[in-house]
Amino acid sequence: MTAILRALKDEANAEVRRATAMIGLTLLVLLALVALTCWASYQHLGPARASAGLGIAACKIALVAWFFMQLRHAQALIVVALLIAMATMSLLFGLSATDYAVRSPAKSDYQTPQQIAPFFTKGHR
Amino acid sequence: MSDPHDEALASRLGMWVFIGTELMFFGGLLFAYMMARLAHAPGFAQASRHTDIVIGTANTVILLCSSAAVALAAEVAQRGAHHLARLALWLTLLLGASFMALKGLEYAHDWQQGLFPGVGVQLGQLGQSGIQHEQPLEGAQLFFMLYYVITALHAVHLLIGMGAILWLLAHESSHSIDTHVRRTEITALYWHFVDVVWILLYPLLYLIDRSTP
Repeated sequence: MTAILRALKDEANAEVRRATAMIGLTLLVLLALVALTCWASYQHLGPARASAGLGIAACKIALVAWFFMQLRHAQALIVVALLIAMATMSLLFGLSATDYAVRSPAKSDYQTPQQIAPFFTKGHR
Repeated sequence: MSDPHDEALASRLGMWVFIGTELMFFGGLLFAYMMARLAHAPGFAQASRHTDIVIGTANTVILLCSSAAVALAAEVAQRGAHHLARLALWLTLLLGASFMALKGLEYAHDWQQGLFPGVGVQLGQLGQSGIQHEQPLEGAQLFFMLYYVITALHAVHLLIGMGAILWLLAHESSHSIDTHVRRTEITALYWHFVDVVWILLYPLLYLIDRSTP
């Protein structure tokens, strides 16, 4: 950490300082959101607890994508590629969810696996 | 001679398309989690309360810091601060290794407490008087099956990211500065994606059912 601060002092021009400050600020907000989501998980929010956890996660993802992944400077082609991927994923989620919604639930047997009788017993040896 | 701007755009686009395919990969797993959780809500709530929230939170903080470090490396490399960029990449690597070490510790604790799907399993939790066990509800074992599959696949992705950063550091002097800067940016994009997956996993595996009785 000290080495990084020393290098920052040696190599920093105004642009490097600005970029470092922006990343540092984004990290602080992200850490504050971690603290918030952790605190919220212990509150009795009822059915809203899933929305709270995932909502804060969505904010964190937006911050990482916008500031760290440089989406704010991304060319149109990259934005289109990302939108196509998200649209395809939404379509697959939608189709799969529709299938689950209209199918009667079948009990799976993975919860209580059957114990197979030992093949080698004293009589066989 | 190709235009460096075109090359930069091509590599960036290539990584974003790859991230798109990775979205489908983890998306399928998250969909499976979502459907299983809807079908076995009490079992998932019971099982997720047994995950180690301290290690989970520490790992979230570590990954966010590593993402900031790799973002710093990519930003300052573009602005000519190569020594600082190299140090930031080493810091990212160190944080990635810390994440893996904590994850290994967490798996070991989980194993000791019997938090592993199998025949006749009982969910254990470390209390003041040793490990206390409780009978798993329906779906609790399925939660742990998904927990191990998803977190292990995430760990594999992180290991690949660490390998890419090591490669970048080892081959820094054998490429032109432009190429190195571009590769740093692309590796950083991949690392951020791995971080984004963890940001989603953290509430799903550790937090959502923490306050339910």
